[in-house]
Amino acid sequence: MKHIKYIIFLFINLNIIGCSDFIENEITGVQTLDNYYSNIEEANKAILGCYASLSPQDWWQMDFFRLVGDICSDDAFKGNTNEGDQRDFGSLADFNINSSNEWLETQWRFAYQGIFRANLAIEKIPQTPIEESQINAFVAEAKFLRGLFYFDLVRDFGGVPLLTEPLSVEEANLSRATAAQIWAQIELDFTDASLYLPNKSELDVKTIGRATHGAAIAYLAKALLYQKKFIEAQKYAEEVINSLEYNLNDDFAAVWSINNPNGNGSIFEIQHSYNDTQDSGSALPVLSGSRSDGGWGFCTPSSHLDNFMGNDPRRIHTIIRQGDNVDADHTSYDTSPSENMTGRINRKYYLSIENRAENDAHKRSGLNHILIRYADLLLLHAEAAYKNGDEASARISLNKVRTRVALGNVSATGEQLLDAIYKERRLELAMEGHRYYDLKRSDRLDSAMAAFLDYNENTSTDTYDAGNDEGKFFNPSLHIIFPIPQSEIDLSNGVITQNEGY
Amino acid sequence: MKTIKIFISSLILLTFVSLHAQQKSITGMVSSNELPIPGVNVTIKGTFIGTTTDFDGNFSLEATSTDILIISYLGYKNQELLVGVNTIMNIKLVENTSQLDEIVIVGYGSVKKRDLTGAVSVVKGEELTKRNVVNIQDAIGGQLPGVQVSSGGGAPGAEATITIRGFSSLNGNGPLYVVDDVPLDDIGFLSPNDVENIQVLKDASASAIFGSRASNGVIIITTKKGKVGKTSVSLNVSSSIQSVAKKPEMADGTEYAKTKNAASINDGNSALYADPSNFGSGTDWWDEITQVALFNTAALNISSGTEKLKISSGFSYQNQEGIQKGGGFERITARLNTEYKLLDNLTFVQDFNIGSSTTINGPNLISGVQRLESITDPYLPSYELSSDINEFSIFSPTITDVPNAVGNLARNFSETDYLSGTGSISLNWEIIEGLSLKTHFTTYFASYENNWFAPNYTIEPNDERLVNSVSRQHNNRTNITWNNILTYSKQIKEHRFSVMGGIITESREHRTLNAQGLNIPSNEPALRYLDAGEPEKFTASGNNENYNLLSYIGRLNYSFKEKYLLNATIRADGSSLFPEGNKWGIFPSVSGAWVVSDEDFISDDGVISFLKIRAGWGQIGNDNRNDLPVTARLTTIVNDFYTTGSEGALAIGGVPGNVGNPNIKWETVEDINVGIDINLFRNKLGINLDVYKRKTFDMLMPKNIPAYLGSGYDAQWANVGNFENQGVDLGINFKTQMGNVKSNFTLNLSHYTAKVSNLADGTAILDGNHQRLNFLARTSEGQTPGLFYGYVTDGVFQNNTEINSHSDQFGTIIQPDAQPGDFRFKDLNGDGELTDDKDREVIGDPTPDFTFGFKMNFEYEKFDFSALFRGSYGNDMLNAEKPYLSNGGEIYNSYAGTLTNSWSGEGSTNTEPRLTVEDPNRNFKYSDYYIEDGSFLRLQNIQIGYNFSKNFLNKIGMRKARIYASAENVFTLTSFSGLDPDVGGSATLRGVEWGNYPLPRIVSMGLNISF
Repeated sequence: MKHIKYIIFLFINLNIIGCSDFIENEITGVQTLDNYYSNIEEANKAILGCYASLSPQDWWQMDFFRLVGDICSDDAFKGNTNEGDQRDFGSLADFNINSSNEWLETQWRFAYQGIFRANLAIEKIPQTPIEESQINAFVAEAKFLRGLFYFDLVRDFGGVPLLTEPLSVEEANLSRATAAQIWAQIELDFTDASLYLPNKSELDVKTIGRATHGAAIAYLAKALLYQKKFIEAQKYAEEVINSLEYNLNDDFAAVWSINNPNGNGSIFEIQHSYNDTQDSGSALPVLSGSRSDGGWGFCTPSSHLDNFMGNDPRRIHTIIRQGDNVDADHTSYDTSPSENMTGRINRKYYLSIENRAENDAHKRSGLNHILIRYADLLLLHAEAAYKNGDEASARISLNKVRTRVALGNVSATGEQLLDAIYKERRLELAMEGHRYYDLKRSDRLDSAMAAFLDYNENTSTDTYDAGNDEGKFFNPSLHIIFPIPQSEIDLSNGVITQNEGY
Repeated sequence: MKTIKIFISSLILLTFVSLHAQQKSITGMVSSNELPIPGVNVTIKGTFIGTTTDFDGNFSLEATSTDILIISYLGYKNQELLVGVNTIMNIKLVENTSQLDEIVIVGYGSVKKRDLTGAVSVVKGEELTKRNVVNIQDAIGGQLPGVQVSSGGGAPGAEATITIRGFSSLNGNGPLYVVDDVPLDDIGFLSPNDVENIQVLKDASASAIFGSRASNGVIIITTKKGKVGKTSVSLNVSSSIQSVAKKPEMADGTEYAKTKNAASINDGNSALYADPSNFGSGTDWWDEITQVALFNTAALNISSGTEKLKISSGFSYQNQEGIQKGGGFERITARLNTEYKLLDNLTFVQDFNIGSSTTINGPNLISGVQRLESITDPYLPSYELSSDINEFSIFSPTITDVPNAVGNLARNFSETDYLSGTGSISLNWEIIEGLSLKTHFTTYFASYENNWFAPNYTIEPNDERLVNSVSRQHNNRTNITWNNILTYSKQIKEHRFSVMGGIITESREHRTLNAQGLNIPSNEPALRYLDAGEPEKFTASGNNENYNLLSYIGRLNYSFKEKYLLNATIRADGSSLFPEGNKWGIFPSVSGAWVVSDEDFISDDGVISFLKIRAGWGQIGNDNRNDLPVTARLTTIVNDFYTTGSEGALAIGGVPGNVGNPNIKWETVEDINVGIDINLFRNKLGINLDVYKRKTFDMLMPKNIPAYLGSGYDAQWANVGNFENQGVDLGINFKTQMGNVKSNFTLNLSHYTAKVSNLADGTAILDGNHQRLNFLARTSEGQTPGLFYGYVTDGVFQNNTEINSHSDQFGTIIQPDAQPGDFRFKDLNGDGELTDDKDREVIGDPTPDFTFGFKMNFEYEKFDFSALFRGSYGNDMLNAEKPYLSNGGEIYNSYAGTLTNSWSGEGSTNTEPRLTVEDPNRNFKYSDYYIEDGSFLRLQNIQIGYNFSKNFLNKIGMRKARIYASAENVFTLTSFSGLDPDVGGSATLRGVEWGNYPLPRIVSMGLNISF
């Protein structure tokens, strides 16, 4: 009997020990989403997180894709002669494109990562207990970035799934919206953003580099021009011009200089800085640098571009030729021709030795990446004005760009004026990632690629890239758009459909 | 019974009586239980002279009075009798039924083997010590039906993975290890010599009592304990040589150059290498990085005991070098188990186990070393070496993006020190007769430390590191388990029952710490520590992770007339991993058995010695605690970076770090098992057959979610669906004796089919993202998981006519970019073009038709011989290196013979495409070209041993001494092109060989001694 009492006592004790608090564990070491966005610091960090998707943590994530605009055109070749090195990158340059291309996948993935982060901010920040004006400013930044990401997606893939709020996994059954719907969202986002973003001149030392009113309007103008809505495009471009926030006072050589971040002509650029422990920065100087100079030799300028630029004063700031005197440490530059399809290197992403990352396995550096600058906007304006029949305004904008590099004014009219504008775009913006998109939106891609192939195979006498048949797979009806990444189509079980022809 | 014993012992005492050595005729009859036994062996010890009993049990032979007769028959205990003055010897044999009276540990209790109602298989400790392996898991393979052991890779110290009855889920299919009633995941502190026996619980009714993770089966390990008797000491030592079992045949220098030339010419370009034969045989990279390696083990076990105190202790040492240079493993283990009988009804047991190991982690070179071009020397030519060149920069740059393997090896510095073990105490109190309380408290601890250093070096821009870096990682685990079990057993007439109730608490903590420093002043070994790193360049991380499990368990065992058996268990588990409302789950099980052979209608003639039919049903909950992150139910915020401001300062952003799931809950596995155990012909032949069906509900696993949801590469842990698995396990054991040769054969066969019956949102799960082939395996609703899915080839185009005639019904040429020598792909939907979503189908299934193991043991006089075969039949495999190594147009090296085997003109081959660099037809995309038959037969172990005679042993004071030679992984018959067809994998991705470290072939010699 005594024994049984002991047993019961023991069991009651054990039950007290085994009560349900025992299985309540808190998560340590990280914050969680449900209680984030609770103060201004967290709201700001959330917005910085949206910006961070422009420049993900590793070189293989987005930096390579920024070169696509050049290699998929007559401006540049894949570069590295080693077929197996970055094969998918070479396939893009070759227009031998299929839906499993890894660079298309990373572009898709990181653009949507930025959109998700922006959607979270737009949804949650209005509940943060801070000033209304502050809320509006943050949300405007998020909308600007969302517009930017959709802009990249629509011009690469056409219509894509449209998300304007964060979706849970259970709700995910989206099909592709039409390109028109995406453009409409882009316009809406840039317009909304422009209402609350500060002007560039209002930014201080701490905030310089973040989105501005001018950037939103400039992108709006660009988006409209892509859709051939010339009247509105001209109007918004003029708004930027008239704001006097930007000018062409910087020398052309200083436009792409690590010592001139957020310069006079810069409307929006991706901010980079070198940091040893966090592996940050831009890998583009190394990706495009010469293989004899610590670089990997990708996206090298073509002789077609070189010949086109001829004696234009911008040529030496765009292309480094074999043997050029570049700086004190490189008096006779070695572009490593045996490993370089064109024997030329992109000067715009080139950094002299003191500006390079000192120590880092991935050699990322602090060169900011300009996404849109004033010269670009002026030429967009010129093009829109021309299409609206306003040739006078077109010539004024065009000549501003030419004056900066001490070229004479253009007085052409009609078709010749348009040609001059197009020509100026190529001369001014070469090797900055625009060419493919410019050609395709103005329906010139087909003829340009045909001329390029003809040049390479038949008329070119260049020592390096004559006879290079990269681009022979170019298919005019197919390659004005990229295929949707196959993994996304597979995961959607076919709800997301592929682009015609892929 | 007693009289026979006295008779025998007195005969043995007369052994030394010397009698006139004169042959005489001896006759007699051998019987058991009053029945004569035919076929019994009667032999004269130390000779080949002998006979067998006839149908009536009679025998006769010639012997002298000093001869000793050995009477032996399987299923009965052997007897040795001195002839002495006798001429007629009638012998009564005693049945050896100890097998069925064996006690089997079933979890918080034990039963006799004959009373088992679930599917349980047993491996004796001695079977493990025969194998020269480092880890216990490696020794189990091929020995038990339904237990599949696939190699963990041949790296020193690597553990094999065990799956029981195939897969029960798409994720985390490893079984639960229970060591002396303590559930553990890591048994690295135990050496095979510490194991008394291993029981594998295969079905839910057997393993339900253990709860979470037991859904994949339970491996119960019982360590050696002290026994009453004089002190016994045993020592086992062995020394082995390991070598590469299969070397890949790669193109040499000349062939490499010729192959690349041919590919370039095929594209209309010029040859790359003017004179291929200049390269000669070039570099054999495989030889550069592999070696013959040593492996030594030693183990000592001591035990002793009296009624009041029993002690068992063990020590072991293993040292294994790697067959790939630059790797090694060394381990010491020690254990002590003591049992005190404090009072007649109070027993106190104390158990300590500890294992300390050091692993030199070599880099993973296997895929790279096959791809490296053979025309490059490992080292730079001496004229390129300046006097002050960094020692890690003396290696040649390579043409491909694979870093120089010899250089990679030279600069690899990673060492892991691992200390783990358990300490436990338990008190067993028999309160009144039949009622006992056991409280058992265990702490498992593990301390993992890894020191890593990467020197700075420059070989080429793609293969350099300008800043060296050092890191130290130090993680600790502490698991505390406390069991309180109350058991009551009673026998009332023919009813015997036992009831058990218990509370189990388990508390786990994992503490992590990792620090990394940069820019050590030089690469010298003395400075490879964090203190030498540059200030302000340190990064550090660390966290605690906690997990708690609370369970209430209950069990009822009932048997009626020892013939009708019933067993029921119930378990309620609460896990800290799940959100409020989903924390608890209740999991019952029930099973029964009928010992048919005890029934009167089964005769006692010995044909059917034992027949039992059993059936069981059970449910087990699984919270996937080893894989499910503690943050799975929430979305965490982590850091990302962006620069702002004119100073260019890096600012921290806050971004979602995972995709949380607020609805996550228990995964449940339910199974039904029906089995039959038969022993025939006086236990000479034993057959165990189990048929089972297993269903898993709410499988927990990471789910790939659409990229447009914006979580980058993060997956979400979710209850993704249902899974079904059914199969058959068959074990056959046959013992026989012919003359003095005893033999024992065991055959295991397992077959299972698995199907994902339901996926949460119907989307297929893709796994195995290959750089060239994209996703290799697809798991779709209604199908076997992990199927290979790609294009279907249909021969090679021999000429342009064939290309043009490969068209759809409208005449559209399906492959317009093809040239003669390219693959023809099937246009499965007939739409005139090849697209990824319409023209791919299931091209292979990694599930085997069956797996098997076959073991044979022979004993003859002092010799013993055993061999173990195992294999698999009907499984498809994929060699993940083939897209690189069979493609002569790749910049990488290729398999020897690729050049001559490739298409070189009309009619040359219909299975290998032409060499091309540009490959416009995409010959090397993912198709059935890569799917191979992975069936294999392997001679896993062969061993021959010699036991020294009793005379010799008595002279040197030993009880037993055996010397043996054995070999492990002797040969493998397979047509698979990779290095080893025995690769495991997960349910969603298996049968893919992916640069795995191959298993070595091991040849050993060893000694077993006991005092």
